[in-house]
Amino acid sequence: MPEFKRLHCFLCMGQACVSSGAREVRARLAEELAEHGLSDEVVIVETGCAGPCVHGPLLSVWPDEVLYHQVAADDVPKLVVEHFIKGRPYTPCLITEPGGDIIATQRDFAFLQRQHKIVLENCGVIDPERIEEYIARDGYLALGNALTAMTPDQVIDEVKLSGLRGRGGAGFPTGLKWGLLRQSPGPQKYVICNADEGDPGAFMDRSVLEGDPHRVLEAMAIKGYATGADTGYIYCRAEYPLAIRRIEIAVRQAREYGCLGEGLFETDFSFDIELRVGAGAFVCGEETALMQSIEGKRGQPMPRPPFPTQRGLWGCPTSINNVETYANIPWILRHGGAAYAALGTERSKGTKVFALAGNVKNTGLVEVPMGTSLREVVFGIGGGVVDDRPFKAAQTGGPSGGCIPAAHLDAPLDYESLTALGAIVGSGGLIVLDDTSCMVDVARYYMEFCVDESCGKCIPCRAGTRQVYEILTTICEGNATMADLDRLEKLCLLMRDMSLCGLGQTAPNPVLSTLRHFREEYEAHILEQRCPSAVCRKLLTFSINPAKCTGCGVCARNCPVETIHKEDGERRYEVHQDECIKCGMCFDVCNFGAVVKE
Amino acid sequence: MNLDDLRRLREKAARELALRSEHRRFRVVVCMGTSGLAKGSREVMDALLAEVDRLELDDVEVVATGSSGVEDLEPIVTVEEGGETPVVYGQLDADAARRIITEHVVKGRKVTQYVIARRLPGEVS
Repeated sequence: MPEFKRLHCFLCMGQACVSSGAREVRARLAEELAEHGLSDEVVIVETGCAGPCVHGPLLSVWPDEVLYHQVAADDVPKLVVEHFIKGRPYTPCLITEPGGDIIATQRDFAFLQRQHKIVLENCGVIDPERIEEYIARDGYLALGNALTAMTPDQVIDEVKLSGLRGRGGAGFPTGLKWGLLRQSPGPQKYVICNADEGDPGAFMDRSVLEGDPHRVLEAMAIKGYATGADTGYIYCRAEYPLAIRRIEIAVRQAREYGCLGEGLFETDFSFDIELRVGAGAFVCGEETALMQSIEGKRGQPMPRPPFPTQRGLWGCPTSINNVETYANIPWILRHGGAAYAALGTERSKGTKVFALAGNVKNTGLVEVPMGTSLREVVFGIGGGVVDDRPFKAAQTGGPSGGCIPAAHLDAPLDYESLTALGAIVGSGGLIVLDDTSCMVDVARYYMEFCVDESCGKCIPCRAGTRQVYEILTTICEGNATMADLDRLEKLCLLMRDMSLCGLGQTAPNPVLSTLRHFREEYEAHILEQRCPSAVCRKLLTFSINPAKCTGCGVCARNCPVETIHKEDGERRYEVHQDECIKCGMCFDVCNFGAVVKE
Repeated sequence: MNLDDLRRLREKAARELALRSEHRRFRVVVCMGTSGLAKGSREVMDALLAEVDRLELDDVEVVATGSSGVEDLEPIVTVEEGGETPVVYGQLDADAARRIITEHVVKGRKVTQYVIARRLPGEVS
């Protein structure tokens, strides 16, 4: 079979595209290529997540640079004939911009072009299951160069110079962390990669592991060399089967090629990596709980100090970084710490990946320099709010984070600015909320998550999350008083100050930040028994606007408690309020917008 | 493996992936509309690809396009080189296609006996 291929077809095999049918497209594409005798001249490359998940399954064709979206298996036969045989783009699968312009190539797609990719530079561009493709993109050169031409201290200095800070949420300077492990005495040291990504809505770590796993392995080996560790652990959650499979393949290939194992690059440095699969407890993303879990114990946090760099895994000095933090390292060593520090803001350097989700047009992964404004991310890259509804707030940092209201749309996204606003960068989940989201309900949602995920070891978190959740529920149901609001605030502050680990300390953040920016919504629920966004069902009334009702009766037929009637001789229907259970069925089924929800 | 091995591996792998970068020196365009296919542009395409592969050229892309409109001169192939006026070859067969690669692309000598035009009719210079 000839090695030269006329066309390279990149098929995104990230979890989102797989869920929307990429495997079927892959199978059909292979069939059609064989059918037309093109198998030898067109190669299908399965890549990791390319970013614009809402457009999946994604197919891009090189060298033409044509980008197809929402490709269905049934599109494939025509696409093959039109593009691969006759050489013209298959128009039904091209992306149309909101303005009506057709986007034919990746170069025209604002979502991709307005990003600055370092962490994701290979995602969607290489086949993650072939180490050769990573090597072709300068993979493992940073490791080889560090081992043969740099001392461990020089490596750490370079990382310090870059200004890189922990991307898992806390923002601790990475170079400093590495230096602490290097100085910590002991014959055996460990490095760990935290891939226990658990924030609802965040999936950049998964995408890096699925799309460019070698990048993380290389960075861990570099860290091992810089800090004196010979063993690394990747702790990945079991909910990420594709990431796990790709890590396993990558580790095997790296060993075959001598990028992991004994005496790397003909030096006396040896390093190997083991994979540990966690059962999916949110608390296991906390570093001390994570180490307990690796040791085979129940995943519960431990008091610090001693810090992991003093006494970590199996009592040995250990240092943990998050996947995204590692993914920056090879780039930093290849281009120099100064080049990295040139990006971003004064105290937040480099780029950050955000998982854009919620009521935004282009959902997916977005990598931008630190300090990029929220407006640019939501409107410039994200394409704005779905249905062009008003932007209300952005929730960042998941259950440990907070909300940024519309008034602060121009706030730069970096560690300091977000903290000042009562939100956090966190792992980088960014959920866009429009005017149909009730902020009390949002806070309640996150608190419910924390109730489930609290490990129960310390009382402020175990009992606090439950109590806060119950107060929020009374507010949503219109049964709370202003005294409850005070109690809520006190309880939140107590949890923040008294909990053992980060989970409990940050769990009240969504409540505190919505109280700060949207206190009037809480008060409307309590004082007026009204949900301004018409979300909290217990506070809603459904009625029928007689001017719009056509008397078709679809609401009456669908009402589960049969409380929508019309009087004899009348043409229009009415909701009998005393029996209404506020399920909202009538609102959903009415074809004429006659049901009023308020 | 040492650092030099890695660099060699990188060169080899990068050649394979060269098609995914944005700029190549030569662009060989094959007309593959219905009439072209009927007159053998598939064989021409196969021959071009095989020759590029055999010579391990990494600065060439071979692409398909629709009919040129000059049906009786099919199979038609255009060779584009950055900045130069494109050269159009017609009435090709597999043998001629191989010569386009070995002569024009590799040595820079046009295969004059098959040249039918410098750019296709109607194209703006």
